[in-house]
Amino acid sequence: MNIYSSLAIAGVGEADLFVDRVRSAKDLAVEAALKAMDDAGIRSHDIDGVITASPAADPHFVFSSLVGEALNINARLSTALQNAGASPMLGVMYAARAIASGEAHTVLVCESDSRGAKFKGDKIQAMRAARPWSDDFEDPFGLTVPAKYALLAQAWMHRYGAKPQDLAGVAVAAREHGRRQPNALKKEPLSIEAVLNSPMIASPLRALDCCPVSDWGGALIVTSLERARDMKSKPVRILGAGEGHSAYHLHETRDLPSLATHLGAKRAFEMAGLKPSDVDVAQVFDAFSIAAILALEEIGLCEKGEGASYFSSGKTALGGVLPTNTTGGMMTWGNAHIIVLPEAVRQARGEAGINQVKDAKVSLAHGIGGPMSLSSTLLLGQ
Amino acid sequence: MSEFKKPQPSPTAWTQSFWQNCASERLMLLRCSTCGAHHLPTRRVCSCSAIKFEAVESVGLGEIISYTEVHRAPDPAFKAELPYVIAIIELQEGVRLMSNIIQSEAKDLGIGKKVQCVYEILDETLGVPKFKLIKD
Repeated sequence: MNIYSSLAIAGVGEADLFVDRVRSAKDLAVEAALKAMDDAGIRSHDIDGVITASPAADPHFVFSSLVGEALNINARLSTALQNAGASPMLGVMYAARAIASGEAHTVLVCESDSRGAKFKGDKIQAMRAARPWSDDFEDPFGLTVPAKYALLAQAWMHRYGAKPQDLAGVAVAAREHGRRQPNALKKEPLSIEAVLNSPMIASPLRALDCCPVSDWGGALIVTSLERARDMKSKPVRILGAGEGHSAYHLHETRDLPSLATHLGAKRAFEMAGLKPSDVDVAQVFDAFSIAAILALEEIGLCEKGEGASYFSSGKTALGGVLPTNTTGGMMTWGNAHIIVLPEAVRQARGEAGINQVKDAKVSLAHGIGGPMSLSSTLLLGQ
Repeated sequence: MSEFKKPQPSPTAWTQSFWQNCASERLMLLRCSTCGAHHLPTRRVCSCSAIKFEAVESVGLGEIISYTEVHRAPDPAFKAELPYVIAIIELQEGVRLMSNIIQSEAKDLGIGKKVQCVYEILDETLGVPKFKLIKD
C-alpha cells in the first residue's frame, strides 16, 4: 500500500501533432484537456485542480490560471511546474498527493508548448533565445541543448568503448515504430547510414540523433479510484512513482553520465514492490538517442553499457523482450515530453491498438529535465 | 566586426571577484573552511553543509571529463567560431567546470587528456577561463 494506491488516471488526451495551423501553448493544452475530459466522460465542473508545465516558446507567468480560465475550471489547486521533460509525470504525482490528502478530488494535468509554430528558423538558436543569457558558467562557452547531451554521449561511448553507429540504432528503432502509425509522416525505414550521414550537430550527435521540434499538448485526468470507476474509461492505477534529483549543471554532476533517473526509478520500483524485469512496456524520454540509451540503463531495464544494443537488436521492438517507445517516441513525434504518458496509459488499459503489447501488466512512463538534473518515473497498471 | 555579441559573464556581488581574478590570469576557487573541498562560486553551501569558504588560487591544471565539437551554434555570435569545442574539465583541486578547449588540434582531443587554463581577457574586470591541451 502507498498513497497512490487509491488513485487512478481516468482519462488521457493529446492535441493533434504536426498539423498546419498556428496554436498557442494554451490552445494546445485546451485541445488535449478537452479530449482527456471526453475520454473520462466528465465536464469542467467535475475538475477542481489544474497542474500545467511552463511552455518555453510561449512563456506566461501564471500559465495554469490561463488554462483553467479557458476551460472554466473552478480550481482549488492550480500551479505550473517548471521541470521540463519530467513535468508530466511529476504533475501526476503532485496531483495524486493533493487528492490523497483531500485538497482536491479530480485534477487536470497537462503539458504543452508551441515550439513548432513559434520557433522560427534555426531551432537551436530559437530554443536558446527563449531565455535571456543568464548562466555565467555555461553561456559564454556557446553551450546548446544538443551539446549537453553530446557531452553525455561522448562520456558514455568512452566508458563502454561504443561508436557513433551504436547511437544511431536508437533513431532506426524509433522509425520502425513511428512509421507504422496511421498518421505517420515518414513511412520508409531509416538506415544506420542515413543517421551517420545526417549533418553533425554536436559530436557525436547528428541531426537524426535529435528529435524534431514540434507543437504538442497532452492531458490526463487524475482522480480517486472510486470516482474513476464511475467514469467512462477503464481506470489505470499508479503502482509506483518516484522522482530523482541531482545538481543542475552537468559539470557539477560527479558521476557523468549517471542520471537522476536512477534515483527516481528506484523509488518507483520500491513503492510498487516490483523490479525492472517486471516491466512489460516502457515509454522513456528520447529527445536524443543518448537520452533513450541512458534511460534504459539508469532505470535498470538493461545492464550498464547495454542500452544501445537493446535498440539495435530488436529487444525494444514490439514482440521484443522490452517494447519501448511504442509510438515512435519523441524521436518521431517531436519534443513532446508528455507523449510517454497517454501511450503508457493506453498500454495499461489494453487499448493501444496496433501498438498494444500483449498482457501488458506493468507499463512504465519516464521523463527527464534539466537536462539531467531531475527525473520522474511512473509505473502504471490495472 | 560582427553585429552579434557573444554573451559575457554578468558578475554579481558573489561572483565578481572570480571573474575579476580571471582578468589577472588567476583562477580562484572557494575552499571549504571545514572540510577543505573546493567549489566554483555556483555553490554557496559545501556538501559537508558548511557555509564558510576561503578563496584559493587554482594551479589551473586539469583533465577532460567529456567534450563535444559544436557544429550548430546557439546564437549568430558564435557562428564565426564553428566548429568549437566545449568540454567538462576536472581541475587538480577536484572542481569541475565547463569551458572551451582552444589553441588545440581537434584530432588530439580525448577524455582524460591533460589541459591547462588560459584566459580570455575581456577588460580589466572581466576574464573567462578557457583551456588548452598540454603537449605530452
